[in-house]
Amino acid sequence: MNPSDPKIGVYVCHCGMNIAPKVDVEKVAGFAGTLNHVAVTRDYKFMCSNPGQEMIIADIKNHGLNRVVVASCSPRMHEPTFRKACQSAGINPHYFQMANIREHVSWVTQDSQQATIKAMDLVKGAVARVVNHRPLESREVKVEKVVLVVGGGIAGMQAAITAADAGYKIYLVEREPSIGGHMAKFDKTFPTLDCAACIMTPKMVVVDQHPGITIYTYSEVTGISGFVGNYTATIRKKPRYVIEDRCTGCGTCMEKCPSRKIPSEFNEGLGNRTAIYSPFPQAVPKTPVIDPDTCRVLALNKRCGACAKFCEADAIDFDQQSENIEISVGSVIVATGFQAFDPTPLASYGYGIYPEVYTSLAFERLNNATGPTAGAITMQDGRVPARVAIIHCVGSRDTRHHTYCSRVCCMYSMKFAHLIREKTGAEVWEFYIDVRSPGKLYEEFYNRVQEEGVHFVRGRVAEVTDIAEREADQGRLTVVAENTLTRKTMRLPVDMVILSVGLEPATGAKELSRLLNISMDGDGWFTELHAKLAPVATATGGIFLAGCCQGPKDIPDTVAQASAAAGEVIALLARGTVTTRAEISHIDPDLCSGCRLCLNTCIYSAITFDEGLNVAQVNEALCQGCGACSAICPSSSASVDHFTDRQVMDELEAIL
Amino acid sequence: MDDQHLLDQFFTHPDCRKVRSCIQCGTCSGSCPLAAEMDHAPRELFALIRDGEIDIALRSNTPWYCVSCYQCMDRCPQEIPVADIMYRLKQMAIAAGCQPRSHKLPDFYRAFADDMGRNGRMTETHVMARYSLKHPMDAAANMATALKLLARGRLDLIPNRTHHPAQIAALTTMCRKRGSDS
Amino acid sequence: MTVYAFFPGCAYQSAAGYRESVDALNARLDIQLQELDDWNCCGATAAFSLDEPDGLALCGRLFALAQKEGFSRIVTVCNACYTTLLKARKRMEKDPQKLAAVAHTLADQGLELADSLPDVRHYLDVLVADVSDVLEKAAADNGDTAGAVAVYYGCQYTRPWISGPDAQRPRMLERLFTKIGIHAVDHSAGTLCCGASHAVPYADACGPMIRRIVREIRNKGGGIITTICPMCQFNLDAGQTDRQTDPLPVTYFTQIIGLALGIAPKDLGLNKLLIPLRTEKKKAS
Repeated sequence: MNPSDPKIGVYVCHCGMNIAPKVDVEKVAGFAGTLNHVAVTRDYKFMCSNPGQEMIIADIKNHGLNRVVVASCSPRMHEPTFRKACQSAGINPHYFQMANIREHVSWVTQDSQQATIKAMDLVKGAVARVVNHRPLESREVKVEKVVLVVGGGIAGMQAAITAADAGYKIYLVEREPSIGGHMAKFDKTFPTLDCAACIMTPKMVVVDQHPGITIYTYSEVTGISGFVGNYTATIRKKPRYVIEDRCTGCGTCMEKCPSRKIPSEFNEGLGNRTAIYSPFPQAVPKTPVIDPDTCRVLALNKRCGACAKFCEADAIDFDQQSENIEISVGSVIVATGFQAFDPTPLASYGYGIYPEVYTSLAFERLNNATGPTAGAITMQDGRVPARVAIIHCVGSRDTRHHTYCSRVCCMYSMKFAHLIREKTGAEVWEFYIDVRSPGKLYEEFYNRVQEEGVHFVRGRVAEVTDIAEREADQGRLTVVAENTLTRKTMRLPVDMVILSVGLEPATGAKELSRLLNISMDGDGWFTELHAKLAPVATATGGIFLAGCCQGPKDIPDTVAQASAAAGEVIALLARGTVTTRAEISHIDPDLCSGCRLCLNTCIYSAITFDEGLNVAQVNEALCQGCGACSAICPSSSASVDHFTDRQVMDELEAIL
Repeated sequence: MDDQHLLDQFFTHPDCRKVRSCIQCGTCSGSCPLAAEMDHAPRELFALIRDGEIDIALRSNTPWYCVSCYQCMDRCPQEIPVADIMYRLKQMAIAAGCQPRSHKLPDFYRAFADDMGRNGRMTETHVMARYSLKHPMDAAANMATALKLLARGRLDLIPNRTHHPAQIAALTTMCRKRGSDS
Repeated sequence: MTVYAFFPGCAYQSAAGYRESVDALNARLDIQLQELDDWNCCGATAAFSLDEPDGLALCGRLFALAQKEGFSRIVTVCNACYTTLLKARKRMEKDPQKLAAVAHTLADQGLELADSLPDVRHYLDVLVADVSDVLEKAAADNGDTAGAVAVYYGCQYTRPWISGPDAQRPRMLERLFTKIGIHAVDHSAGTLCCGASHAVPYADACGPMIRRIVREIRNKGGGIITTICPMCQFNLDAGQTDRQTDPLPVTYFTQIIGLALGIAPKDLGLNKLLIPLRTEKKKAS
């Protein structure tokens, strides 16, 4: 095969009804035949199908083709397909070029004639480009069989256990003092009503005791560099002011701490905690943390030290500093979860104004055996409510806040209704826009709750007010809503209101997306590589998603996705090596002026500087072929394989 | 004008087009202080319009009962400008000559527009006088209050006027035409 | 001293002591409101209900008058005027064709409307934002006091112009009151609609709206209602005399602030209220 004597085959795809009705594919194929170096042209219904690929392979063999152009869809899906076909016919896979006449032409052009002209131009460009292609080879790089899991909720724990069971070393990083995440706050789970703690705490213990898992709680990932299989992550451990190795978790320090009136984050502000605290009894690790903002010693510089005085293990260390840990990992699973929507901006619902208006998360704590009332559903004054209203879609399906449906609120609202009926016998009124119960046994649960006498009103609540209609209801809250099925406006006096708040991305998600170089959608959820076919991968190699950080989901879906992410990681690392990109950057030492601009531009740290020769050099193992160095290089000494000036300029010239 | 034409006219208006994204949640009707008086409260009115029943919508008393308190607009989760759409429906109803089932408010607005058109400014006593020609009972109900106001020097018997009432009359031709047409 | 273009609106003239108390505050706080020469009615809800171009033209004329006198801001004292002007301004700003049409209509009448429309403000904004420092210093501890005041903002001051919690529960006037020694009560009826625009034709339907507001304020310990709009004041004041046995006096916020500044009740037009307000001398602290 002589590269200077190109012999090109051009294949125009109909893509069923996607391209052919708009683009005159026969005309495009005919036009291609008139171009220099083109030896074979064909059009076919589905080029990506087996017969389509066979056609290319046969032509390469029978006609001695050494270059191939396929005019079809976006290279994202099928470039690998056709490259493989070229390779199996014996030519270098990089002697291939794709012209996108579907997304760039037939789907976005109204006029058929214009579409055909544009398709011909793109084919002409691809032919001009492929002439200049050079054979490139990929390399195999060894991978670290270590996984970093960011987030210690149910998703992170499930992923960590699965991958650790497969024999990989796991680092699990959690920013709160304990692993467990949101699920640790729940009492029961829908629709089976199994106790969250009963199914959750055993998993926490497994994570804690697994020889393959190292947990860093009260820690955050602050840096990451490298590439798939070979990342270096920096973890910042915040000071706990308690030495983990010494602490026995006896709890004496918490009993003795005199700062006792700090609203408990874990109990959503409903109960208090001490300045030295462990968020909940089953916390993992058991080691408490000292809150530097409320501790008398750390915040007020007072001579308290009650915790230190009574600690038999001598574990208190007020001088502890934060610590940076660097680890090498082959893959990362992001499982940073969600946060609950803060309903304060929806002033009509009275949250923060009327004490008997609770968020769903606060109600989870109120109803929880380990919560502030030991699971008794009572109002602030200790009375049992006679009537409770549950308002759906708070912050969800609302263009002012979150346009999306949060998926879990209907179901947890009905779970609340069941638990309130069971525990207190109170009347429960659910105010909904649409009941969404699309899960296994979910519709059955809806029916069950209806049969239990729960009232369902189809209408979004207009307001919650303390203005009572009747003197007898003074002191209660009134829920105002149109029952859209009876067309009547209801003014329902209630004792307690639960706002079924939606899910939103956790704070810090944006920073993490920048750090890991993964993308977010308009709502702030991390974006998967492909909505259907790559639901847990990201666009960055070796980084996977699990749980709510990718979008609202319930526990079964979260656990399934976490297992899938672990599976992907295992598949990636099991082979021991990864194939790197063949298209990498080169710096021509004869042209390099030694300005070093490329050194800071490279986010993979793949460029080093040779002081002796006064030139920059590319480390081929680290280079990802992103092209940043080539773009910034003022002397044009840096170039990326497969995107050389010649290749790009010839393509452009041909199109224009 | 036929219904299809009126429907097209309605949906061409950028505010009204947003009715298409209504999720029928009822927040508007639940927020409306006079929903109970309306024959088809806003949510239902929008459902009717989307079903093509523009004729019912233009004859509905709903837009005329709208007090412009903007609660619906502040709360609508789809950010549909409900109150603004009510104004549009009132304008369309008047232009199409649809007499709403309750015509007291249109009469009140006409009395208002008429006084404004004549004097450039509005004088409450004059608006009341003009309105009570059609609805004497409403005026009678307000007599006691009027006497109290008179005692406190709060009734303007002499009309408020601009220097150039003709200028205002010229600016409000359509307003007054529509006021007297139907 | 800041000079503001002033659009008094039609209802201001006969409002119960509004003019007197605004004048008294202006004198005390050194605020100059320059009444727009030959102003016209803004058209309120009526004009916009009948014909939008006419409604815009009426407001456009007011903007043109203010521009002619070199003002970039118009101050109103009425929620209906405030909302109507603000609505016209936003409509014309959003759609240059509407602005051009209004300018064309006005040109026929010899008036010029420039593109940069004046800002629309409520007198409340002037007191809360521009002169609050002066106000705090002017607060007197020897004036008259009337007791626990409940602010009633009405619907159109906040909506649809402010979003978020302040649209439902504004607190700017309460904060100002507290600073100058007026006892402001917290209640939930501050922006409920009182039905003023419909009170004449639909008195029966609007009655419950007034009663709900008054009942809530009384339940929360309010002894006086204070309003920021002649429509609200009249509706709540007159609406109670007919239907309530134990009514609450309905004042203007300017009257209540005037009392706190030590201005005599008679200079604030308090004698014009339908439901009388009893004041007493503050005990010197």
